[in-house]
Amino acid sequence: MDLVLTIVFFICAILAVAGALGASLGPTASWRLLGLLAVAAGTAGVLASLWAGFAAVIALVCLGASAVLIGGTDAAAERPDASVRAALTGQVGAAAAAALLVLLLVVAVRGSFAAGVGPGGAFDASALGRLFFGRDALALEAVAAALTAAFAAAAVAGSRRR
Amino acid sequence: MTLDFAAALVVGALLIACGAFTAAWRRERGAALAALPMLAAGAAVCMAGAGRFSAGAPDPETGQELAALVSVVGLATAIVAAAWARKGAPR
Repeated sequence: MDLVLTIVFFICAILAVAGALGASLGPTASWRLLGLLAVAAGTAGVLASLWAGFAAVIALVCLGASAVLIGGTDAAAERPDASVRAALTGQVGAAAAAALLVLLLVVAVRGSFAAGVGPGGAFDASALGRLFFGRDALALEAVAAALTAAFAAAAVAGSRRR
Repeated sequence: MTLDFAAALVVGALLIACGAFTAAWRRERGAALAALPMLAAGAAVCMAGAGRFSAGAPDPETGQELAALVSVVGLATAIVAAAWARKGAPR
């Protein structure tokens, strides 16, 4: 098992570093986007091989979203007439936000989250939940406030640009 | 070739070095923003490695927790930076 984890760790590490070099030195926006996606996938694999499965999922989502966001900004800078694509991206984002709201409502109403009986599972999520919402609740609130402020700043910047 | 704390730190340091290199070398604003996910990824790997290989730690999940928080902070920074870059871009 340790040998398998070691092999997975080094393969994912090579993928992440190669993706970072590709994002640094890539000649076009599509190459740089591909490199950033490789960084996200490789980092998630490295974290998973370090027995940090929950952090691997979070890193895959957050770094992947950052890659798509920055890659889109990079591509828009190369092609200034991308207003139609930007409008489509905004509509897709609005639909995704609505779907996320529905998902959160279903979890809050029908799920077992409020009762506190959720199993830890493979990610040991219950121990992490105790850390997030117990000992380090202030850090979690600070990060959530930073994310909310970032969304608000992006919305204000987008509305002023129009 | 073994999986130990040094290997995790080397991978994290390589990612952070690539991010610093990108921020310093790229002239275009959109391309320089690619440094942000790399810096967050490197910091997350270092945190997870420290949590995984810390001997006798009372909470071994602390490194995993910090890695997740660093990833979310990286996303927040990328959102602000992308909005700032788009604001200055031609329509």
